Amino acid sequence: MTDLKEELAMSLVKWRDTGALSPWSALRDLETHMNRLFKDSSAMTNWPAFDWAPAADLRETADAYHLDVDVPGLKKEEIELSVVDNYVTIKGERKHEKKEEKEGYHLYERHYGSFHRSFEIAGGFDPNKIEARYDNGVLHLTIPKREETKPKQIEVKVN
Amino acid sequence: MSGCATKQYTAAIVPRVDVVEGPESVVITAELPGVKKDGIELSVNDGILSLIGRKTESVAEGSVRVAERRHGEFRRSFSLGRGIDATRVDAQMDNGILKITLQKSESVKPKKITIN
Repeated sequence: MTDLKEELAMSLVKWRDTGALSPWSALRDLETHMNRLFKDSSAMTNWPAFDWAPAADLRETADAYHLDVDVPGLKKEEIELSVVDNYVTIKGERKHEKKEEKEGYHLYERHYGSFHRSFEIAGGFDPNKIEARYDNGVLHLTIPKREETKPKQIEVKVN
Repeated sequence: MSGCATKQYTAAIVPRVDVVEGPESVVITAELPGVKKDGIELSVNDGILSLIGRKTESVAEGSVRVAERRHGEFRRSFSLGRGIDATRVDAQMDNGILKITLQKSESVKPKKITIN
């Protein structure tokens, strides 16, 4: 169980993208280096290796959670989706189109390699009713809430 | 492809790109997740390749729990330099990646010279 906890703690690292040449790009580079460092030392820890983390949006409605994850460049079959307790995990790998072509790069901003990200759905959900759709590089998930966690209207009678 | 000087616009999304030069062509790949093919405007004007567009994805209602993705307009431009044939530009959109292939001008392509 501790393994899972550590795994999730690592996966919940927030992703920030503020554009290519913004003041934040240095921070993003630092994050990439940190991730590489963790990857190199992953043999000594239980942390999973990952190279980048996709950006996501999560919204909650009365009936469901809607999770959208940006994974451009991946094919539908290359995305792995799994559910443990209250966590939805998305895993995959973005491969280089041509690996040998290392020279000739004028700009190299895109992230390659494996990613791994978990989202906690606090109120719980029905794992058998998750709907997944992949469209233009975005994974859209609809995660229906359990009946008992849906908001209910309770009528209060005053005598 | 000289320097690939890019102009930055603060209000718009700046898509992440890779620019790779091969012997015959220069390939630009841009990450545009959630952008449809007809939401992209690609043009070459006076040696500047411009990529402009808008993400028209419908956003579901509800309370926001996590908001990391960027929405709205995106812009990026590239200075092509003299070695690029601006009349032969090919663009393809696949799984949220726009791949632009620019052919080099005949004059700058590598040539083998036979010694007599």
